[in-house]
Amino acid sequence: MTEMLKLHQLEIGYKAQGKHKEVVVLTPPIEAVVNKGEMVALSGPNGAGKSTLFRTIAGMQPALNGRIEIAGKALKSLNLHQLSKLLSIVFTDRISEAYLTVFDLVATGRYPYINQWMKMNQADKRIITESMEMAGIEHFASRLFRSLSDGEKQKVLIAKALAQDTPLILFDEPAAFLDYPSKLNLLKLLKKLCADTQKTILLSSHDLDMILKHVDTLWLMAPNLPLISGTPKQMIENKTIDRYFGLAYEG
Amino acid sequence: MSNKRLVIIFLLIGLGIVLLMMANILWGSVLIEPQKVIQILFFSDKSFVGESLIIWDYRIPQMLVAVFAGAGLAVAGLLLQTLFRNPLADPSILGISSGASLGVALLLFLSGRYAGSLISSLGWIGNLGISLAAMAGAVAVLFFLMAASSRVNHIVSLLIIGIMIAYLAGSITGLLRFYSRKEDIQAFVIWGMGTFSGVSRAQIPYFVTAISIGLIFSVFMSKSLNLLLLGERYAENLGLNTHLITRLVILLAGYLTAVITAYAGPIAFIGLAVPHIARNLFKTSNHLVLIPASIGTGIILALVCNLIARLPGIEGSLPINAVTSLIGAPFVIAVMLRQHRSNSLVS
Repeated sequence: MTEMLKLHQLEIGYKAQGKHKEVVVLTPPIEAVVNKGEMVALSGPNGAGKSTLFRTIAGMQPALNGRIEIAGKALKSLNLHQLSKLLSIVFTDRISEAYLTVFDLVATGRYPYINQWMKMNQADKRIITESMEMAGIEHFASRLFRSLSDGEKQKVLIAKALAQDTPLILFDEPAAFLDYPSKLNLLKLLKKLCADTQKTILLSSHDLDMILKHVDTLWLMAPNLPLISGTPKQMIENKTIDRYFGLAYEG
Repeated sequence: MSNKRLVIIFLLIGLGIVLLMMANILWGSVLIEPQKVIQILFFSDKSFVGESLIIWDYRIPQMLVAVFAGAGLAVAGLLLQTLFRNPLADPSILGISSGASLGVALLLFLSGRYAGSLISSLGWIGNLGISLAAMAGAVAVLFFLMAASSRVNHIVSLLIIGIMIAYLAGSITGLLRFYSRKEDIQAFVIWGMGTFSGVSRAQIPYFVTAISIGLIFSVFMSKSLNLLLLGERYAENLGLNTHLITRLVILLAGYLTAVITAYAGPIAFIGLAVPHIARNLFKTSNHLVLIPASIGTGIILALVCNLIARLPGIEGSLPINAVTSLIGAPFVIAVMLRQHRSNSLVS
């Protein structure tokens, strides 16, 4: 098994603003690995540090301590351009540009590979088409992104991440704006991507109900508790979930 | 949009620009017959001394200032609208034109107070002085913005800082006005109305070169600008150094605004309106198309306004700022109404 993402003695958090500049560490040092082709769901109560961990892995925020390795390379040694070919991320950020078509948005996934004048060769175009097919959105390539439903938008952003052709994809709350059937479809799609293309997927969600049923590996975070990894079944049986979500005393 | 349609629209814009350039040379408060104009332009006929002077020293410089100011303001507006992802951003939003106004106000009012009507009596040296004061004010604000941009994390904070600078410079200018003599205020008001005729023939090459450099740089930033449309986080994940690009975009838009304001005064509206017209015309968000489209549309709008400002029967010429909004605003409203209709048909 190849380790696609490795977190070693990783401390995340931020330097507080103000006079003292004290360092706020969100969790005890994190020790975790995601293997190639695996899909892992990260969950925990609000304020546990899920988003901070994602930003740190994506290189948008420095780690306080420890080491992150992506596809065997230390994150610190990678520049933005190198990183953009290893890791793509799907955020909850809204994109509201009026005349952005679905094709053009998916095509931005190829930007790390093309030059200043954005001339795409046959291979680039083929990857874009294939990415749209995998996400099931090839029939509205020429539609405006703004005119799509939230579920369709989410698929377009997945296609964009696929076009970026990175071995590792992070999803920040991929189901946030979706109704139940759309969430289910989305998780099935992600699972299929892992199986068919050997992509490695790390997604964050606090939709426990959904991920307990459909994800094989679960990471839990909570304030001042160490990140813990396991199968949903284990976590339910040994009451880890209750402990991490602060439900232990309720029953 | 298909490539064929793209080429046709660009050809039409190019044709429109050529026709309007010719009209701007032919049309003015003094009537010069077209044959004479052709003689003067293409055969350097020396027999019409007066007419030749009007064409080479007045109409052509004025036409060129309109062309490059229109192009530069349109691109500056587009750059800022993309950077702030805000359709209301324009070259005045960062306080750069307010800084230029403050520079000019300081020069006119202080010199008026301590040296009489020195500036207004100096003729073209006075004009150069005004340009330099405008440039100094604009560059001072630009430097402050660059320093601020490295200290704030959010692009919206930077936008607010820019708007505050505009208010600050505006109120200082207001105070200066309040304590100034009538003649100096008049000179300031006239400068504030904007003009395409304030650049002498000798200075045209500098103006044209300065704007061209800015325009060429902006074309090279197309890819980065396309990424900025997705928001900072997506842009960064696609390999873009957003901190660096933010500063480059502000520097570039500020530079274009500073040069144009120094030579032509604070020209409103073109920078705000043209990017919207260009986007609606080409129905794209790709800056490789939008930048040339804004340049072309900006040139056309500026040339049309310059023509109307010199309608026959009008003494001298109308203030350009009044004309740009008078012509441009109804047009933008029409474009927006049409866009709304076509969108509701699609979705």
